[in-house]
Amino acid sequence: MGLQEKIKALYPQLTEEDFMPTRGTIRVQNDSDGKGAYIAKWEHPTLAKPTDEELS
Amino acid sequence: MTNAVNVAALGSGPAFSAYLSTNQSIGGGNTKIAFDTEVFDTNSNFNTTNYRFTPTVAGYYQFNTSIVSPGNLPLGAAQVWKNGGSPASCQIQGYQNGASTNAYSCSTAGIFYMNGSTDYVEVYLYVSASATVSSNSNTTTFTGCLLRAA
Repeated sequence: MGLQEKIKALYPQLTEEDFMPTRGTIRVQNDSDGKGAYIAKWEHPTLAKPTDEELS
Repeated sequence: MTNAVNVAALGSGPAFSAYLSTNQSIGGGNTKIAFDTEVFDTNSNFNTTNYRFTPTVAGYYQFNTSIVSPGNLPLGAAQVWKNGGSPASCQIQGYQNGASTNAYSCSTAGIFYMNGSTDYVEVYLYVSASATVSSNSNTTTFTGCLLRAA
């Protein structure tokens, strides 16, 4: 399961709109540098950014 | 005289065409497309290691990208990001809300001003779920060229 899918599983109330480029409040990003995906932006008004433990 | 200088710069201005040589598996979110093979790169400004175009001539550039996936995708957006996609950067996007079960594609094009030293562009694909990007020199491509020197 990818990072974005893990976030959706942790917070089922999130919608596709929350992740949309530019207008979404969350951006999951992978720079194809071998380091994997990461949370590049978390500006959700009510939900806290998940910890590494919650996403592991 | 100024016009003559600009025309000379345009005639020798950077232009590139790159494509994905092997299929790329991506997860949901925004993933940089690994354009690792060049068709041409007139000024050696495209880097096939970090997949960035960093022109060394200042001016206005047109960029185009087309991305194809062999499978059905619920939602995607091809994006050209300038300088890493930070809030202050420019972005152009092409959306596709896929209904086809055969193949999926999205593309976008736009014009950016590039300063000729530090500005760079990359292509990211947003998908709402895991997907595969097809390697194909004709369909999954990233191209650009100088339109007008600064």
